[in-house]
Amino acid sequence: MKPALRARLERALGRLAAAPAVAWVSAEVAGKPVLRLEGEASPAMHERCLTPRPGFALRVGLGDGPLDETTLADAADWAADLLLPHDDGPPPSGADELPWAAVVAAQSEGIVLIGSDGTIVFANPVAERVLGRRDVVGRNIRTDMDSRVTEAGESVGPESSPVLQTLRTGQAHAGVLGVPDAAGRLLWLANHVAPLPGNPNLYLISFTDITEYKRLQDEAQADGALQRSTLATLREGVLVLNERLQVVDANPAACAMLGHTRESLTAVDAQARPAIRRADGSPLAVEQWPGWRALHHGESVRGELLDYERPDGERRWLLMSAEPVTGHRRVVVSFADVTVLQTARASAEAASARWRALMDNLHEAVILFGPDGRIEDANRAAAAILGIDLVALAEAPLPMPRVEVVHDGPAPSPTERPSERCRRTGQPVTGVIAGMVTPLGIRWYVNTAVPLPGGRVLLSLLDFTDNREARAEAERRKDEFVSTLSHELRTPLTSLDGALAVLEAGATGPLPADAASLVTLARRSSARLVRLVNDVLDLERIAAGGASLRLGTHALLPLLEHAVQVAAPFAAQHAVRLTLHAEATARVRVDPDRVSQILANLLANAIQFSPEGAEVVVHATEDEQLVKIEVKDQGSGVPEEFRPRLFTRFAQARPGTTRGGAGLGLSICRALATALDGEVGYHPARGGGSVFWLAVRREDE
Amino acid sequence: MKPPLRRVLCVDDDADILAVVSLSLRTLGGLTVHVAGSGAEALQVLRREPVDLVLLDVMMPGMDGMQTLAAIRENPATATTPVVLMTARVQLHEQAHPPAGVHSVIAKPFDPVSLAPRLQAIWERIPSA
Repeated sequence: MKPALRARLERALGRLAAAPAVAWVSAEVAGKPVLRLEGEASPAMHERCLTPRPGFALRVGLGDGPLDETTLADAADWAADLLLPHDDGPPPSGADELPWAAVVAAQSEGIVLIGSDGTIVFANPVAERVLGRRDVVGRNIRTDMDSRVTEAGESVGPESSPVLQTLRTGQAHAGVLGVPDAAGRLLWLANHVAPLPGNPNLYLISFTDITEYKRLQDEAQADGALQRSTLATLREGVLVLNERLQVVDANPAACAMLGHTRESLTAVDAQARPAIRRADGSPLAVEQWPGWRALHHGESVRGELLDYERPDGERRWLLMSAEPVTGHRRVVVSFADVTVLQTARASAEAASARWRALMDNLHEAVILFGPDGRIEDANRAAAAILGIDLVALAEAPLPMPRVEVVHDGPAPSPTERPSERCRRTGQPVTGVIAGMVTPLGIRWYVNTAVPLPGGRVLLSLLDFTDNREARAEAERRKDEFVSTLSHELRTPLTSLDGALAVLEAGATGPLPADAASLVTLARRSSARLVRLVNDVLDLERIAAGGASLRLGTHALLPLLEHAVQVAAPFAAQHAVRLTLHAEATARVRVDPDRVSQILANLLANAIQFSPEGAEVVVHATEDEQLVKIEVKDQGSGVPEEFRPRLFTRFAQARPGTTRGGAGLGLSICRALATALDGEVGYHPARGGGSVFWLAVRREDE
Repeated sequence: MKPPLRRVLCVDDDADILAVVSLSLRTLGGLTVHVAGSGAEALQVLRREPVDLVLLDVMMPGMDGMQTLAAIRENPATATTPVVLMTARVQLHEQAHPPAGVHSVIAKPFDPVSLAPRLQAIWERIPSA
C-alpha cells in the first residue's frame, strides 16, 4: 500500500473510530483490504443518506471481492463524513453520489430496514428484486405481506414470522422462510432480523435467496433417501470410505457380512483392521485393497475374491468390487458373501482332483463318451492308447479317434463297438476282447461298457496283453512239446501198431482166443494213438500253411453225397439215421479231399454225440456268395460256456465223457476251412441239439 | 499178363519198422523180402540180390532216401527198378505227382496189413519194361 494512501486510510479510520455511531471498524479481514463497519446511524444520517439511515451493518468487499486500496480509502473517508455528527451544518453536498449507494446496491444480500411498526423504510435493489416489487418502501410488513412457509412446510402468518418476533421481543432472530414472490413462486430466504443497536425503532432484515440451494439440497436429500432405502434392501454389502479409508457409511448387508454394527464400522479406523487376505491366504497390503486402489489410482476394481476374518473369528469369502466416486475423495466398496459358493467350489474341486488322481493312476483306460459318441473325458491311460490330447479334451469333447482293431482269428460278426452297443441297448457290455493298434503297439483289452444317465457311456479297457502274451507263449511251448512228442512217437508207434496189426491179421498163425482179444484191444489203443499223433501233426501242418491244396471247382451235391456215404457205416454202428436234405446246384471252389475231411469230422462228431435212434441231417443253403453246409444232430448240444473254445485244440466239453477223440477234430476242421478261405461255426439247433456248419465260397462259373 | 510182384527190398533205418514190414509182406503178402538198414546197405543188397521193387524210406541218417534213389538209378542194373518211397514228409506224399524216378509214395504211418496189396496194386500199374 502506498504510504500516502495508508496515511489517508489511517486518518479516515481514526475519524471513524471517534464517531459515536460506529461500534466496530476494521479495514482488513483475513489479511485482505476490506472495509467493515458496524454500528448505529444517527437521525442526521437518516436525513442525509439514502442508506443505511438509522443503523447499519456494512461490509464492503467480502462478498464481491476485496476493494482496491483507493476505493477503500474513499469509502473510509465517505463513511467518516457520513457517520460523524453534522448537527451544525448541512451534510456535505453530493453525499448521495458517494460510493455508499453503489456499495449497498452491490450487496448480494437483500437488505430491508423496517420501523418498529413494521413499515418498510428501506430496501436495496436485491431486496426489491427478490420481493418482486419496486414499491416496497412504505408498505407494512404486518399487513401487506403474504403469509410465509416454514422449512417444515407449515404456513405461518406474519405474526409468527421472525421479523414480528423480533419486533415483539427485541431479540435477533434467524431462520429460513418460504416467501411467495410476485409471480407466486415460493422463494426460500435465509433471514436475519435484528434491532439496530442504539436505535430501538429500527430493525435490519438481511436475507439471502437460497431457493436454488434449497432445491438442490432437497433433491440431494431425496436422492440420499432413495439411495439409502435402496442400499438397505441390497443383499450386497456396500461401504462408503473416505480418503483415509475410514468407513463413513455402511448398509445393513455390509454390517451383517462384516460382523459389525454401523456404529462400530464407522467408528473404527478401517486401516487398523488387518482382516482381509488374498484367496490363497497370503496377506494383502493396504496398497492392494480394492478400496485403496479405487481411491488412489481411480481404477474400478471388479470382483476380487478375498478371505475376510470377522471379529468373531469366522472366515468368509467376499467377492469385492470398488468404485471411486467421481469428484469426491470417496470410494464405494461393494461385496457379496460367496462363502457358500466358494466352499462348494472348493469341495467340488477337491473331489474332482481326487477323482482325476484316481483315474490317472489307474492301469485301466477309462473313457467317458457323451450322448453324441464324442469323448468327454478320458484318463491318462486312455489318452496314451488313443493318442488323445488331454489339454484339448479339457476344452471341448473330442471325436473318437480312428482305432485299428485286430482280432484273434476271424472278426466277430457284430462289429459294433462295445460303447456303441451299450448306448444303443442301454445295457452293460462286458468282457469283449479286442486288440487295438495303439502308439504302444498292438495291445489287447477286455472292454467293459456301462451306460450312464443322459446317454453317456463309460468304457473301460483292461490291458491284458502281457498276460495274453505269456499265455500265447505257454500255448506255443505246449504246441511245440506236443509236436515234438508226436514226431518222436510216430516212428515207434508205426512199428507198434504195425506189429499188432500184422499179429491181429494172423500173419504168425492163429492166436489163442484170449491172446487174440488182447491183441485186438492193444491194436485198438495203438490205432487211437496213431490217429492222435496224426491229427496233431496234421493240424500243425495245416495251421502252418504247409498243407498243399488241390483246389478245383466242383459241384457241391456229389461232395455231400460222398461224405454221407463215407459216414454211413459209422452211423449204422451207432444206430443213428443219416439223412441228406439238399438240392444244391451250386459249384464250389475247394479241395474235395479237404471238404471230405471236414465233413467226415463234423459227421463223426454228430453221430458220436447222438443218442441211439436219433437223426443226423446234412443240409445245404446257398446265397449269392456262400454255400453253407449244416450238420444238425439231436444230441444234448454244446454247453454255452464251452462254445467259445469249441474250435480250439484239445477242447472237450465234458472231459471224461470222451468218445475216442482227442479234441483235435474241430480245430483241424477250422484250420482246413481257413485254408480253403471258408469258415466253420456252431449254433444250437432249434429244439435242442447242435448245428455245425461249414461255409465256403461259391464259384458257379 | 505181368507176373505178380515177388521180391521186395525194404530200406529203413528203423529196425522195428523193417521187422514189421518184412513180417507183414512175407506172411500176409507171400513176398520175398530183403531188408537194409541204410542207403549204403541197400545198394550192397541190390548188387547181390535181384528185386522187383524197392520200398525206400526217405529220412535216414547218412545217405538219405533221395541220394539212395539217385544211386539206384545210376546203376544200369537197377536203373528201371520201381521205387516206392515211404515218408512222413507231407510235401512228398501230398504232391499230385511223385518225384522223378519214383513210382509211388506211401505216407507213414501206414497199415502194414494192407501194405502188400498196395504194393501189388502199384506194381500192376507200372508198365512192363
